[in-house]
Amino acid sequence: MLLPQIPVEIQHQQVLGCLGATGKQRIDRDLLDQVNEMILLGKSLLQPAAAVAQVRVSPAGDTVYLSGAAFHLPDLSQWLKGCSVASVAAVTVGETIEKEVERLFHRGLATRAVILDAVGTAAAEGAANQVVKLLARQMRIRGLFPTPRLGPGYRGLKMDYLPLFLEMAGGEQIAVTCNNFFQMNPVKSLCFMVGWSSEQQKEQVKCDFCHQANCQFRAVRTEGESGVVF
Amino acid sequence: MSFRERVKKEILVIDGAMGTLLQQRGLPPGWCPEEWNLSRPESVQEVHKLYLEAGADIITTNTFGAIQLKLADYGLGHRVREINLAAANLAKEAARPYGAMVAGSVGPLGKFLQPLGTMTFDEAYGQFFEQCRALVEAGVDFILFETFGDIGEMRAALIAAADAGDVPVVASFTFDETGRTFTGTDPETAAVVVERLGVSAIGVNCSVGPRELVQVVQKLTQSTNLPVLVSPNAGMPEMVEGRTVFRETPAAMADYAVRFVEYGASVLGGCCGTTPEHIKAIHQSVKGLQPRVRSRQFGLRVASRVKTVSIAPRGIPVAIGERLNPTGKKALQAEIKEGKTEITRRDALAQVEAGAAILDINVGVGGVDQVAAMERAIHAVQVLVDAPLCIDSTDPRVIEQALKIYHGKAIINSVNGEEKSLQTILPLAKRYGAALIGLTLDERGIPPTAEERLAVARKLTERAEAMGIPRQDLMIDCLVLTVSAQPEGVPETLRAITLVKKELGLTTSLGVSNVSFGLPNRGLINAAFFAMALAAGLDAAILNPQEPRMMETLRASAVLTGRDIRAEQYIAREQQAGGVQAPAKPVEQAAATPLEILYQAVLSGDKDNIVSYIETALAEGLSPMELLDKALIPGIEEVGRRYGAGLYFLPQLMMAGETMTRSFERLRPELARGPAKKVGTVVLATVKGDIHDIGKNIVSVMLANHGFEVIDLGKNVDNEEIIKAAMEHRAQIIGLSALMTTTMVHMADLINRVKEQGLNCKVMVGGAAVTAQYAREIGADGYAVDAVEAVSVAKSLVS
Repeated sequence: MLLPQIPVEIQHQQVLGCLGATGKQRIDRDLLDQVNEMILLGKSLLQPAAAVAQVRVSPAGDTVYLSGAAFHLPDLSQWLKGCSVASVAAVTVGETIEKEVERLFHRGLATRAVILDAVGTAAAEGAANQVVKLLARQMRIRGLFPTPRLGPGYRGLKMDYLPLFLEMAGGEQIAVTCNNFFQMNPVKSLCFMVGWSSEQQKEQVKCDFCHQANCQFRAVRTEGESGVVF
Repeated sequence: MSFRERVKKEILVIDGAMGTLLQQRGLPPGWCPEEWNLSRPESVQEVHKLYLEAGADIITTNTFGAIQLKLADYGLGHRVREINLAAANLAKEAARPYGAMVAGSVGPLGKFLQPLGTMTFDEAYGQFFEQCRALVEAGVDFILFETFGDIGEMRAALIAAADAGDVPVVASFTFDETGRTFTGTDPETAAVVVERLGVSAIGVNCSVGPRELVQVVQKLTQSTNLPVLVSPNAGMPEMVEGRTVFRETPAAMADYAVRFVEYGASVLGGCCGTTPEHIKAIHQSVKGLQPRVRSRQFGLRVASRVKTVSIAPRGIPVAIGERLNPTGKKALQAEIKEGKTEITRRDALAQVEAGAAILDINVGVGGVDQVAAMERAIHAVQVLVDAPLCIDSTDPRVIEQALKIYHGKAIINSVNGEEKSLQTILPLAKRYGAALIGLTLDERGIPPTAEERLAVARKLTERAEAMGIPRQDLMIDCLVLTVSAQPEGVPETLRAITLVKKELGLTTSLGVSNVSFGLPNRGLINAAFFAMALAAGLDAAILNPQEPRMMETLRASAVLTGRDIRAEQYIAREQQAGGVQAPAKPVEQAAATPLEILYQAVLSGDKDNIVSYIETALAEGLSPMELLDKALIPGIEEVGRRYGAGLYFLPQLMMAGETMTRSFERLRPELARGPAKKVGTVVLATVKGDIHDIGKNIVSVMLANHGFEVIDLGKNVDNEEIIKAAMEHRAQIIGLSALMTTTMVHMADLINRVKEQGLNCKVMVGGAAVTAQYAREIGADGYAVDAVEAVSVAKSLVS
């Protein structure tokens, strides 16, 4: 399924969170104005799109088969327990926003650049949430609930799997690729999977991909509608 | 009696689930249920009879997925007509002895339309037309579009049904627990959009159980006077031993059915999980009840996919944003020519932010394919903002394309009293369910008097109504002439507004800014005229919402004309504007010394004033070195400390950095004349393969502001290039950044090369995936967790 344009909400608080705001800081009006201005600019630059594929999930012990391809990953098998189907998605907000971030840095407007970069991150996260929500609403009719988001580089799934996941999702349809070092292009893109289970998962997910203790994605997430951004 | 007549006079019961009952009769998993109309007709008819025996007044054909796109999955794509005819005949045959009616069921395509998905309006239309034509040919009593989650798809389906034949149509949506459809449409918006597309009833089915639908049904019945159908699932689905089950009992379903009748619903039934027992219980509880007559007066309502905007004769006046119009805007003209939408999107957002309730879209640029340009603009804007759109074009082809792809109820700007306009524009408004702005001009031009303009408005109303367009969907623009050229025209326009409202009961709009053409300080004239027009009864204005004076005039006039009851919206807005929580920048103490002021300016990131503070300090005899050593550097160091302590966050660090950059720029000439102050030279790069450089850029800013010369090589840089640059610039430090474990291996390689080549250069590393331990393992001279630490590490490496 191709979603060429996704409506994305960018939350002011989320952008501040991406920038490291914790509530301890005193934020003056000038800075708030800049954040609002960058959210507005960011929204105009977004080109949010997604490619989503549905795959059959067949667990067999520590191995899980996704549309026939075997993954010898106990963690993944555990996460997809009870799921007979999963959605693999590639989501992007396009490259215009990262080009504008570069341009702002080159012009010496570093504050705006870092804020706009955070807007891009929040937007990518928002687009992914929107995709999961859209799918979840459809699946709810069938009595199915999403697992937390799972992605290459996270929870037992090596980054090496990224090309395979992108291929499964159909990432090329929205021009989302990755290089030999498994970095996605455009940068503000995500590739992830959600399993669909009859049981609503209560288990909480916490990203520990990097050592940045103040990263907002350290925050606890539940039910697949928020998760990990790379 | 036809469905249209019966549904107004009696409570009707419609059947329940078909698929579940077919499965009980042996339909194998993965088999096409609609194929059984051909191969197992007796089973399909048996299900129909069970529902008829249970008391259903309406049975639905087994054609939910009998559309080419879905049948093709089973290799049956070429048998659409055959399957639909067979299904309808089975249902009719079963219904005849009971005097029951047959609804031709049509389900969604399972694909999203543009811009959410890839399917075009025309493709969707073609799919629905083929199935609807077959059902009409078979003689169903009405077509039931059921379980639709996307309003754009429903629009295509309804337009196709209208073309397929003269048959009543019911539009039934599926809403989830949030009270919205899959793609975000609320019940009122669903009603507003489909009411004008010829539906005989509006419905809600599937998704959730009756309990979860209570609010949806209430909202729906309050939003339309049309009959309402309610067919919930038998509760929320649950998975038991791999099978979906629904647990709501027939008695509970029946209780809810009575409640739904009280709210105003008149067709009651069930969806997934409901059985003949459920339908029997519903029949017993609602038969004999009378449909509740609803006759609420709605003004002009327009809608985007997710929001309805009401323009009512006594409601709060509405601003229609005018800025998405290339007339006189070179940049927007160029963008439209290039096929881009960046300015369009930016202006759309800014106008909504400024208070526009509706956005006017015009792509009138000469030499451009305006159909394609309008399509691009509509697609870009409708996913970006929730404001409904006003399609502004003189070309009917452009208007038609816009109306096809817009997932809401738009306004056409405009129709006028000229015969050609009436004949081309009114049919488009009728077909695509759009509202209209009617200009009071005709073949003779703009009539000079208010009475003559009223006559044109009357003609527009009559012609629209004759076409089946309700009068409340027509908004009259009484047209204003330029006051500098025709001062007598302004009072006539104001009188015409009052007359049109009084005589025809219509809403009015106006393009306000024409009045001031040719005069200086146009904003003042526009605002004054706008206030007068609002006093005369104007309901909507096409204006620039980013002009504060116009929006203030609108809000204040709404209070003064009694349209903003108890000034509620005015007060709310003023409180919002005045109630910003954030503290302003700290104001410098009058008694502070120039050095203290400079220090504070760095702390607060006051880059706009730093240069003037420096000038003052220099004028007072302080040397540039004093400013640097006693105020600016201590200031940025304190910023770093506060960042480290979590008291500042990234943008504050950057604001201080930008302030320092401006300071250096200002002081550079003086500093160049003095002794060299460069702390050291750093070659900075993000390693090969890594395309994330935001962190490296931040480090670059911070190092530069602490007196380092930074040679920033960018991202994805080859080690060879980094070493070459370090040699060329005699760098004391190479700074490397890597986001991921996959790329940080290049750091080790570079350190080895530096050692092999005997370079007198330290290497410091950092980045999200890099740790102090890793830095040690690869032999790095320094490691920093963030930009502030990078500065102190760099300083320690050069000291």
